[in-house]
Amino acid sequence: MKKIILILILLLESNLFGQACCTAGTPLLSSLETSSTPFQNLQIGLSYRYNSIASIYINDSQLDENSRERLSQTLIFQIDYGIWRNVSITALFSYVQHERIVLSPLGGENLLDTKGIGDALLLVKYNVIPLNILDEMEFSVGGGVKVPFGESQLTSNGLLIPADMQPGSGSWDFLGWLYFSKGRLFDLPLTVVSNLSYRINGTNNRFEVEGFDYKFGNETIAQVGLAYKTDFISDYSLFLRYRNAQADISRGFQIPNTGGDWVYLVPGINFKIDNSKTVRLSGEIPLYINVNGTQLTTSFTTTLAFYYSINL
Amino acid sequence: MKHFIYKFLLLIIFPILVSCQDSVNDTELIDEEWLIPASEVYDGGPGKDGIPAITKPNFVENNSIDFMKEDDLIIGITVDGEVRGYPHPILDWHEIINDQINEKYFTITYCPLTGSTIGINRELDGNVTTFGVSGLLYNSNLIPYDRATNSNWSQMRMECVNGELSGKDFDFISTFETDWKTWKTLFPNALVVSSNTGYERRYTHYPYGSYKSDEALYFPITNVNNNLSLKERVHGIIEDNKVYAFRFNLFEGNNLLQKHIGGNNYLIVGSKEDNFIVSFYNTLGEGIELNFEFVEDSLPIILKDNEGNKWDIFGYAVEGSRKGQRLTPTKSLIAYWFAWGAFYPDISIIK
Repeated sequence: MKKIILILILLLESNLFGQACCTAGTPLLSSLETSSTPFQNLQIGLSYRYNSIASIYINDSQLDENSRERLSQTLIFQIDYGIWRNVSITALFSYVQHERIVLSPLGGENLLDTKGIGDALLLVKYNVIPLNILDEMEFSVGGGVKVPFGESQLTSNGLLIPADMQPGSGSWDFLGWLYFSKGRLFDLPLTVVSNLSYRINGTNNRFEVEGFDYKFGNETIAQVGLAYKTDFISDYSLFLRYRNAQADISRGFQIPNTGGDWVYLVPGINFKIDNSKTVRLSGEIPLYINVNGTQLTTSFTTTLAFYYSINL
Repeated sequence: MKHFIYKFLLLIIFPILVSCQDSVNDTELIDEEWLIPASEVYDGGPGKDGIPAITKPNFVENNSIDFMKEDDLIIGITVDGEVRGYPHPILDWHEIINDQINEKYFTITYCPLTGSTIGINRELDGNVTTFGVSGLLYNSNLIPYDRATNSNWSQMRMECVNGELSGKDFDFISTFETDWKTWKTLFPNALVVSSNTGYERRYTHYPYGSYKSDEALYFPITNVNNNLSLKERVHGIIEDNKVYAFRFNLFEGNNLLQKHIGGNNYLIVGSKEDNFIVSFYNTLGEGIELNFEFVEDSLPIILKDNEGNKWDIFGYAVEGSRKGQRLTPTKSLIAYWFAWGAFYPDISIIK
């Protein structure tokens, strides 16, 4: 069992809320990379994610422009528990800080900083093919809901702050998820991992004006990569992540300058403190960006996470 | 092992939860007193100066402009006999251009969401200042701020609505709007703002998708008037907070309207084909009223009167005994219909 747990932790990446770029702004479900959790196993994770949003793109061309920047920092507390032999649940709770920095033409900068409890995720996973020691193959499916715990109507100076600066999205969203992994590739401690998630967003009514509901664009995340386990303190992984966000919608019309396609390289390293505790460091490096219209978008992200696993 | 879990929860999670109250920190302090409902003022997203106003525009002649399509719109202004053009493709990205001709200091303000342009004198109480983009919107319309007092102004309401200068009206400067094709005919040698703005932007690219032609509104407005298509461009004359709207279809096969409305005699001259509407009071300084007729195919001359004078699109007499005199321009502009309806609910459509 401990070996299985180690494999799971190696594959773990907790950025369930990860992407907070200007396409949608509020912390969103970005990627679901966790595999399912064995029966009666409890995993607890705490991760910190730093997302620098400072690149301005027109479609796939980057502008030489540095007068604006966004930072998004997210703390995520994650609990996974195997409730039955093939069924596990995941719950995530987030705390979000957004910063908007605009360089003033008169010198200095204008800073807007918001922070607060973000939205939460509840996910149920079913092991179609449970992970076993022999062939180290696993296939899981899942579905969940994002609960709008986060405030989406914060104001500054009495004025409503933009949606992408709010801690929460204000909408109930629904998520489908697939996960596949196969270990012992080439008889090496090498595992191929892929997953796919699709999020259907609900609408919010942050303006509280009839007819002005707002819907963030639905989002698809597909990811494939390799994880390499060593007998030393550190394990390694390298993923390719594709993200597509549809344009946001208001009053039945697509909002320009929202949505697009992103491809990231996601390197990661796990440090095994012992059989139950792991520290993971990972990042996202954009390889390809093609946004709709003009957008301020992610320059890079870094995530530092701690995971603890125990059989109850 | 359970002890570890408890310690984990207590030492890491609990402090986080304790500090988890929502909070906002904004270096931009805005007076919370507004002349308009603050609940209807929205932060558009980019933030103050996130859309960079131009303060030192560069100009070139028409034939050096390579980013304009024939149907792209351009704003024209004349000061001391000099004509300058401010293209929408530049204004779409910057919204405000601070400029001067000789000792006349003025600002062209343009809102891409309401399609409205207003020229204003940027000499406030004797001090020259510049205007910037506050990033705020009221009725989907630009709220510029002046950099002398940091006061916020409502463009289509034409007054300061927040800050030290609250209640002060714009010192309105008349402009006119037409398309690039007509502009080149009107003013072949005029100077036009170039794409060398100091900012890297793709000026051939309209940043708001299909917004100009669809029925989308990105922010709530106080009053939705569905009498016309929301994005129809309409020339409005503002008189005592009442607006008289003139549609382009009035100027198909007919180029001159002489109307007596609200106690004033107006000359409204336009061409749907050439894509312009301008309006003047039909009263010269001495109370003299002339009889006008439209002059075909002579742009920028558009009118001639019963004394034989000829008048250009800015209202100046350019030939005849009254050469140099000017018909007084109305307080007017072209904007999308929905914006007129939102700011001036009792607007009248002139037929």
